[in-house]
Amino acid sequence: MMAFRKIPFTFRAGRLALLLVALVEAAPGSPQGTLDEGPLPPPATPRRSSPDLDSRLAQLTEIDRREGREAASRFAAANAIPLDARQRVRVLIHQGIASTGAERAIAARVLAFAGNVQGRVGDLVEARVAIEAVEWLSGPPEIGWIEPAPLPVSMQVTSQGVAVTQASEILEDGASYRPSAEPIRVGVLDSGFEGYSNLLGSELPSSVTTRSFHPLGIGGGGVAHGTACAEIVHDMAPDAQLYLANFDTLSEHGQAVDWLVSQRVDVISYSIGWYNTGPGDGRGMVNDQVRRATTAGVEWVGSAGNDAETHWEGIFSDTNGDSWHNYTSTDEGNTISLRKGDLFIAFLNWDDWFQSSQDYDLYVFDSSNRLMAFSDDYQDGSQPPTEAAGFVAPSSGNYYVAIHRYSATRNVTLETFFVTSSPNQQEYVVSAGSLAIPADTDGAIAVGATYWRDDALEPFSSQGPTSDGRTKPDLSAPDGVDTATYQALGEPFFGTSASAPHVAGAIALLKARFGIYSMEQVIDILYGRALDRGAAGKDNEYGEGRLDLVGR
Amino acid sequence: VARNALDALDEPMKSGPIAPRRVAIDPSSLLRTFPPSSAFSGEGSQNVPASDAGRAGERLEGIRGWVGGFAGFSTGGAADLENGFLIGGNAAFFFLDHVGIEAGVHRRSTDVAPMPSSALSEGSLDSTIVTGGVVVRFPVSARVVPYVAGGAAYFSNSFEIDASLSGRLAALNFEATEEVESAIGFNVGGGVDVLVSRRLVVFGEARYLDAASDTRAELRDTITGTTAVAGGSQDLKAVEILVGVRYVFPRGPRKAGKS
Repeated sequence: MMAFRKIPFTFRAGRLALLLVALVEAAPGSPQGTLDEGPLPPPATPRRSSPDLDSRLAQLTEIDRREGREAASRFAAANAIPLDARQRVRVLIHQGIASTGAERAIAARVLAFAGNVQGRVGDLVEARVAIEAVEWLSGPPEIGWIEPAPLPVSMQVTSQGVAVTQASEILEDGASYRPSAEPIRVGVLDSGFEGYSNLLGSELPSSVTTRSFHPLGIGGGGVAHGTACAEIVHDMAPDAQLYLANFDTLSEHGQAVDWLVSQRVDVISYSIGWYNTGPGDGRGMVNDQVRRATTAGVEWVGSAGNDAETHWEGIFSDTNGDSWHNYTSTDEGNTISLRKGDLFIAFLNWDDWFQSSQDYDLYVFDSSNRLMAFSDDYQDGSQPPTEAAGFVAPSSGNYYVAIHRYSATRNVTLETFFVTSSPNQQEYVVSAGSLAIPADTDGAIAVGATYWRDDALEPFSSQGPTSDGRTKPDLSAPDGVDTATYQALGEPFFGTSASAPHVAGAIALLKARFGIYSMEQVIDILYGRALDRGAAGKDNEYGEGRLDLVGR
Repeated sequence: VARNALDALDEPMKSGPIAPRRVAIDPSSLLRTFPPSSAFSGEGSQNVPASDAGRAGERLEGIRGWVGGFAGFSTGGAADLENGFLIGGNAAFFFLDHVGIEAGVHRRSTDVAPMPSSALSEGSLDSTIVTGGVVVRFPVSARVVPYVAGGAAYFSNSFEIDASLSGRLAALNFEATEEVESAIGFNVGGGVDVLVSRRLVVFGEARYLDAASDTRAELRDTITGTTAVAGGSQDLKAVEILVGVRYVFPRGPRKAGKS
């Protein structure tokens, strides 16, 4: 039986929204920009380049001849044509006829025009020749197509959140005032950092410090979630030193926290949430581990959770006396529609922490009232008030989550979280109080998600208050942003998982550039500069507002 | 020598006949008894006739004091202080022929190019420096007198953060101010006076000034009002190279019996 689970707050539901936006933008019939400027000229005829020469090279030689080397150099730079220090162009020469002597003939031709052969790329010959000699290479039948050698292009991806939060204003301006003498250290604590090494020096700093507490190593068995989070931190605070630590179990989680503290990190970016580990008032095993960091002076920045649409809570009510909770007077099941193959897990807890003597159980049925999963743990005074049940949907359709009172002396306040492998709409939703653990920890910053394009609160972004009445989250930050990690999968990075590292990076950036401020003051500034959204002042949806490093 | 001259006057009255006896008085011996207005009676002053006092004034010695002005630049010293310009004036009073006290004030403007450990940011530091101390002259020729001087230095400072830095901070809704407190230090140096006319001297001087001022930096977030303050210490030491002009006051004639 699953007592609790950790869930990375990656959310990919925004793909559809993005696709719709793209379709609208590209909708036929929309006037194109060029229409305002008059009709486009017809393409040049006949073609100016030869069948043997890449048109960019043809233009390069023509510009070199007519306007000089400087103009040619500018053209080359703008067209990704590689020139060496002696202004020679690097070309790839295809064989015109496949023969054993073709390569030798090509080399001889190159040498005849004072070039030199750099090497082979398959059947192609890479050579450096003077710009004016490029078009002279053609002629012999052994020489076929000539093109510029390709330039390696850095596929850097920068989160749109950098611009949206105006971190770019600080980064581009280079403004600082009494910067911190030492680099700010940011720990990223996650399940896995698959592929991080491929991004060193581009999407990530050239070096990072890693430590795995996961039995499968730093990749966590192919989990790239942490890598994407680290990317965002690096986008926001390029000078920060990153410490990547991953874990699998709660005990490993604690070890990882302690390790990050021992590395004297200033900030921990945390995009993981847990269910059924505490009452949501800041108490609990995970919260205690978080407090080990915060009491050591580490600023803990965590995701609020993605559960505003998958959370429900209410007081147990049995209107017909059958011991099943009534969501309404006539409905004893919270319906969720699943697709075949969807993983579904329901978590249930109630307000009788930590050793409960109020015994409630959790059941999941299909539309034919067949039992799909259940959790009927004992609560006889020594067990936590939690149940969890999951299954893989055998077919598409509606399923019902029901709560049964087994043995209880009072009607407790129930809380459920439904977790599915793909977005699904559940019947009864209570967004308030949907914070995941440890977003409820006092002294830690909980971050909600706003879509970077329009600042709208993501409907899934978990909301406060905590169960002891504190307003959470503390801030909101962009999601739906690009990262190299998820771009490889064709997906923006949605979820409060993407939002938290924006805030962690913002803290690191401000602290690094304005080292005169204490960490506490940096947080005050972030709160004060946040763009107020939702209800005036701090609220349980946006917190203090959407992250903005400059303010308006 | 002076006593001899007077004795020569008195002598006939003491021991000679009633008829007065003419005694030739050498004016130069009187000059020696009552030094000329003097100040500039150099090495050979005992041979300068009183009627030549003006010419004697072209010799650099025995002055009563001076007032003058100067300009120059500061260099070296604190690593984060760039070369700067200075202008000022001073005055001196000599209670002995070659030993006196001096006091001056000058303004030094220096750009600050901060280093990581600097207490100040990029900006300009203006210091009004009041100096006072002892000056000792060493006449080596009729027209050239080296001297050394030293004493205390009081720095009154004002600092303005570089406008471009202020602008960048303002664009980010921050406002920075920095203050440099007054400080007391010391100065020591030396120079050379060169006589150019009867009462006019040009001089060149190198002087080392040293002090450290407490600093206060404040950064205010103009949106939230969050303010951070940092203290520090700014090294103000520098070598000042200056040239100037002095009007000198010659030492006046001394009354008999008082010299």
